[in-house]
Amino acid sequence: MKLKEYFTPKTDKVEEEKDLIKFLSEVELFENLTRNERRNLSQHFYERKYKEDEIVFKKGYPNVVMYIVKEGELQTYLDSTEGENLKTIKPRDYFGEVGLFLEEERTATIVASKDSVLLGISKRDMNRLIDEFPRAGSKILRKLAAVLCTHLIRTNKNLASKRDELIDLKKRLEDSKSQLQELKNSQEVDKEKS
Amino acid sequence: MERTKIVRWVVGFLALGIAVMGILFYKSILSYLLISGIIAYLISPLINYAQKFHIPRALSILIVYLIIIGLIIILINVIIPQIKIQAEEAGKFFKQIVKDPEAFSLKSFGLEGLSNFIDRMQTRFTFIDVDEYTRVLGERFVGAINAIPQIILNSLSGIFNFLAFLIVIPFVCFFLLKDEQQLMKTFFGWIPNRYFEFSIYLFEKIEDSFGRYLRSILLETIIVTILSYIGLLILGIPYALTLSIIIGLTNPIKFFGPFIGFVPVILVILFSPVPDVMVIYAILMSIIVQQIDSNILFPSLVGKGLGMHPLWVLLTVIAGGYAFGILGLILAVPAVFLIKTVVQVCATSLKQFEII
Repeated sequence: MKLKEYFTPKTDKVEEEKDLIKFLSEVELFENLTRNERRNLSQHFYERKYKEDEIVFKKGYPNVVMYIVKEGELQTYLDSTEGENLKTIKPRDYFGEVGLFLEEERTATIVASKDSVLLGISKRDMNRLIDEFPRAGSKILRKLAAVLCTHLIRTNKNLASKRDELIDLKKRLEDSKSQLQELKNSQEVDKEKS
Repeated sequence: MERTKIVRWVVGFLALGIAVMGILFYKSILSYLLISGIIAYLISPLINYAQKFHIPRALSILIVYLIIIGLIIILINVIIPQIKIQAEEAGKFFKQIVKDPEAFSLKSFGLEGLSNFIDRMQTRFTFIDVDEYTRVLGERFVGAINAIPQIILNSLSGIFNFLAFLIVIPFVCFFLLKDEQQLMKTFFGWIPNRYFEFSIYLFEKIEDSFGRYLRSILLETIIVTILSYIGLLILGIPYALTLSIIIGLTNPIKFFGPFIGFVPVILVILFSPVPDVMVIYAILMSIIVQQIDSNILFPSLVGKGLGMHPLWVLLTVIAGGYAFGILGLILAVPAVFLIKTVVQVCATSLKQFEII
């Protein structure tokens, strides 16, 4: 055995770490990080395997862990799993990021709709990493801010179009109301005549 | 019973048997593991801090080890002989006092009125011998004090002669520190998905309150020792180093610690050539150190504090002392605090996680 081989760690572990670091570069949130920063980050991820229909967390649980989807597919439900699903979460998506900033409880229920592999990072570890490595931290936070802003803009647009619809509906309601009134009036006139 | 169920039971029993055998096999090592776990836990913030500057973990652990070895060498060569000399001197000193039969006699104060009063009392109540009582009490007290330096010396040498202590613990510590993240991942990997978030939540809450408390007690002890050493040196009281170490070590005992730690100081002042007025200055010094400790050090290190009612803390210390002696005095409050934290976190979060 060569000396160099003896001093390099087991290959499958190294491969695993490499894969994880490569995977993290494909996640939107971490795409600006350097390789070193990503390696640092990767040490704090817990890999969790979820079977189909297994609940990751429910609405009302404390905010503890933020997840990134490595494989599989998950569904978001606003109230219970019976209601209609809000959003399908696919690989490279992440959820639970709101918990990084707010002390509030989980606002939705997440259920695995296929066998999934998630990467979880504790909120405290994430915040500590952001504090300890400010350069990497600012990159992550800026990206997250951009994503949240996009969400906000989209929601605003949604809201605006909904408001327009509402105004339109209101107008139509008023129109039909006045039409009804006219109809009633003409009927009364008819009655009086007869 | 179904076949699969039987198989399940058999496998369960086998697993239990292996676990029991494993515990029995590693039983003698468990205390080492516990001690190295605590030491690693106390050192780990340093290593994490070094990682910030891209220093590899193994290297920073080795640096910390070198520093600790240096400190131990200094301790063995400079401080321990000094403590030994001082303790021996103190021992001789107290022995001398014991030899003097009139040392604790009330008559030795030289107050004529008091002596006359005692004599009169004795002629009136022949069955009460006040003088004898105080003398016996004093002798017993000095006897107990006399034994302390020997006990300290014995336990110190006992620890340092512990060869395994010197070899096994640093090794275990090294790996605990180096693979800290890996070990955490393995540990949390065992926990089923249902309890994963809860376990992380529990772990972090305990670390935030209890871990911080444990780490700050260590820092507090060191700082209080140094402060008292400086104070005693300024006052020119003999055996300053030994006395300040006693003050530092007894400081973590809530309420009683400062008083217990201060008894030797008063005794040394009273029985040494230093003028007795120094007692007042020494008490003032101790009050200042205690104020710095409780108003500046404790709030800034521990933060919110224990959240235990003072009466509860007091009763805990007393109960700990009754049950486990000196060790109980020191460890009772942290142990109760740990249990309280676990119960508190569970009470609020078990329901939130819908586990109960």
